Amino acid sequence: MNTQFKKGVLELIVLISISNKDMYGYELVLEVSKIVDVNEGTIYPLLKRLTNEKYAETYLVESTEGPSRKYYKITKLGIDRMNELESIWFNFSKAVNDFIMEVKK
Amino acid sequence: MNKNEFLNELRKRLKLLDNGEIDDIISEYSVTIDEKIKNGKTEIEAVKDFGDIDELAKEILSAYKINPDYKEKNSNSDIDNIINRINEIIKDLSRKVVDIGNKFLNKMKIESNNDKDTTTIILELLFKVIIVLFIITILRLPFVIISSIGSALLGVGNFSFSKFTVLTFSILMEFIYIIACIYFGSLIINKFIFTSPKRNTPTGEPSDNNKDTVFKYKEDVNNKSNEVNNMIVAEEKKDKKNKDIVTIRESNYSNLKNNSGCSSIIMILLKLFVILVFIVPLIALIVISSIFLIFFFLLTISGIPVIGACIALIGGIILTASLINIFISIISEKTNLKITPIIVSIVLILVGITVSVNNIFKIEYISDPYKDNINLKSSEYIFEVNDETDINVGSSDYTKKIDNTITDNKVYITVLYSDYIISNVEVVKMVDYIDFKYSIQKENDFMYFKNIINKIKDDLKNNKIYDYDKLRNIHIKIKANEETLDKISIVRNIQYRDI
Repeated sequence: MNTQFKKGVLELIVLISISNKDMYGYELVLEVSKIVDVNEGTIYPLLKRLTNEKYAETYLVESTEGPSRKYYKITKLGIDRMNELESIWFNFSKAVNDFIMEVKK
Repeated sequence: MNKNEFLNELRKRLKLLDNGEIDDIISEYSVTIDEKIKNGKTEIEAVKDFGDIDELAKEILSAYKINPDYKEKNSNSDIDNIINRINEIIKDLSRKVVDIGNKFLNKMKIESNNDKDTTTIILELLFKVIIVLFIITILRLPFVIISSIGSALLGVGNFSFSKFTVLTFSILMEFIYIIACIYFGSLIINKFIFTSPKRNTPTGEPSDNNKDTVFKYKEDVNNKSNEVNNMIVAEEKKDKKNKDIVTIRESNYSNLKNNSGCSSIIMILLKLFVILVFIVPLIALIVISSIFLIFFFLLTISGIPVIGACIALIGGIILTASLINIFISIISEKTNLKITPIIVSIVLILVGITVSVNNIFKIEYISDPYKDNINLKSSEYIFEVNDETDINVGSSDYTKKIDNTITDNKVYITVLYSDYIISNVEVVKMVDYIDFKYSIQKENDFMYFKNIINKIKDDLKNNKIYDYDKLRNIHIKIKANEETLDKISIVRNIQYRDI
């Protein structure tokens, strides 16, 4: 899949994922790669950006089996952003689907 | 690439960011790599998954809205590299000092566990007092430098300023010094002395300052559409997490305070050192140069060809400003340097010097202003003398002249002086000696200064310059016939001559 295209959707997927439950970085990588084939290098910068833009906040939790993990938690602002992206996505995909259907007919 | 290589490379590429942020990012990647290795990947594979490291670094930087190409554009400049190196040295140095300091503090902590609280407190207090004393000493430096520059500059003309002016100036300097001490002292006390007790007794309240380590936990169930059972499990989990988090936060908080408190103190000290030793004197230099520039500019307008000095001074001011810029960029750890002003200023200085040298060669230096007899006042006195008479010339220069047309026992004394500098010349005949009394004009500092400037200006218009120091003394011409001249003796009495 086109990388630019993927990046755009990635933000939405990550926001939805952490709105469901707080997750740490690698957990998110695994979760997201279930849906899209993504280079995990792009996920961390995205998480960084989301925290910088206050869509998500972080906290540390000590893990019994290694170093402490940084968990990502969605903020109210992040939920607004998620809803916005969601509606954009639905409108966009609907428009594209409609177009394809119409032409293919 | 293995894990360490990868992390080091990444750190290098993220240099633009704040140190704390870099550490944060690096630790995140480090944790992830460990996690992957645990899940059965090799180290190399785990690193490979991140893809091209340059691309990754660009992505991270763009998450901070930093233009990722910024570094590459500027990396050609040598000065940038030098500044980066200086920055690294300063950081390394501070890190090392912090390490030593931490070891020291840890040692003390271990001791304090063995019921030695009071000694620890005393030691810590001593340590802080030493730091404060050190700061006060450092703060003294720029004032010493400025005053020595100032006195050197003022000393050129050998102008004597009234005690009042000097006193006012020194009081002003002391005042600035004390204010600087209070300002920086409070800065350091705030950063260091008042934060350190928290290290031993972390409070339970979360602090908003430490973004990542501080836990901002807010119950927010509304956004979740889980089933009730799940919710209960989640709540339990949260509670457990909460406890864990609080303890982690406390330990992290104390560590953070310990480290960043100390390192920021040392960074402040180093920056303070740079500010005081380089920037403050340079700013003073700019101020002084500007005053001189105005002065030379006025001279140029009034017809004395010192345009070369003006050009050189402008160049000097630009150069000083760019030096200040360099030091400021070292302090703020930014590298926005332009080499053009430095080149321009050097060119200006060279041109200015060439022009001035050309002018200076035209000027004739006359070491004895009394030989070149212009603009000097003279007053003549005639005295009767005998064998006993001494002429007390003090420290002034004198010339003897034989004139046999003068009758015996008569002496003609001519006193030459510059009325710009000397007033009230008086020649007094006592029983057995002749004394000279005069005073240097300084009723009004400004007028005195202005007079001298005018004198120099007039002389320079004639392409002549004198040893003006000599004008602070009178010149005595003694004229008599041969016999009388043999009779009298001339003595040098080093007395204070001012009336």
